[in-house]
Amino acid sequence: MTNLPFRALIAALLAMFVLAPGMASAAPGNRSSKAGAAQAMVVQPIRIVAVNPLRFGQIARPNTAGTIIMSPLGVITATGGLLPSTAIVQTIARGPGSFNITGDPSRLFRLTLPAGNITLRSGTRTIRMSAMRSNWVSGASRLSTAGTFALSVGATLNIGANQANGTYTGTYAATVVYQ
Amino acid sequence: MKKLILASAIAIAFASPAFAAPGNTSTATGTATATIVSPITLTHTSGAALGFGRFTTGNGGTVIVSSAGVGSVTSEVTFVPSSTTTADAFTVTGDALRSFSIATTGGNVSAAGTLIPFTTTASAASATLTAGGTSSFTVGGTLTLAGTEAAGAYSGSYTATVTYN
Repeated sequence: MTNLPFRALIAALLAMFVLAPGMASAAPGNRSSKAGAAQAMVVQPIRIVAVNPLRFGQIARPNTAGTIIMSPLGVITATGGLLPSTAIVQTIARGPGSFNITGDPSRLFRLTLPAGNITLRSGTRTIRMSAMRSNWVSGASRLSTAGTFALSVGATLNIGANQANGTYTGTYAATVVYQ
Repeated sequence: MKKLILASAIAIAFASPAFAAPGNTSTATGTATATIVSPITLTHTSGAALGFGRFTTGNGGTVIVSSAGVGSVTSEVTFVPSSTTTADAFTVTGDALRSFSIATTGGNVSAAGTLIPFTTTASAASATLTAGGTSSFTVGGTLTLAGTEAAGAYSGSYTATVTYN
């Protein structure tokens, strides 16, 4: 008694012969050929490319600690001592981090952003960035029918009292995977 | 024939994920930036004051001091000889080349329960900090007299506020 997988394998090999182009010229009479169907979906790989940095902009040094929250839509809110500090003219527009994701049209994908803190540095001085968030929705965000998704990333910046002047920068990883 | 079809279907099922697997995930590095700049600080110049001078009121009028400190009177108010007027003065420090706005309130000078109201005018409504991060401005004002005020030295205060634009 031949087991089923083995028979399936044999059958698959036979199928390949049946589908081979050469078989079309098989002699009539003792053999019969019929076109089979074979399908394979070569899926466009998913790809994410960083576009714009997450820009919290210029902030007047606060007397007391507080936070600045950048929403994925680019809306700034401030708490604590940062309330008046953010209401200053910006030489470069503030905005959320942005990424272009491309891949298989309409396919669901999962996004992973850092769950912990990211450190922004200016020399030896640091600012803690936390609570990263984005416009990706678990189980709902798909690549468009054109195979694209514009990802926007926000976060919370935790600024200390009398945080030293300077431009603070840091990096974070954004990973996408097909679902 | 049935078996053949079934088998080709199985072969397809195995083949499909094999193609997608290598491109199944991708990672990009994003950057985050924030710039902390010096806060704006207003300092009242030591010894400076908005001085309306010495005058008689007559039946009332106004004393006007320009932001340059030049005094003038209206109606029946008259400066006494040797009266001097002064504009008030402030210095500002903060982020280089950043513009800011200046706001000043009015107030009252008082003596023995009598209030005399005044308004103020800054030398500019807004200004820009120098490359060194400093600036300054002066404040003049208008004192309005009813003509009934008793003689005496009156004093009071007002508030000046600077705000980054």
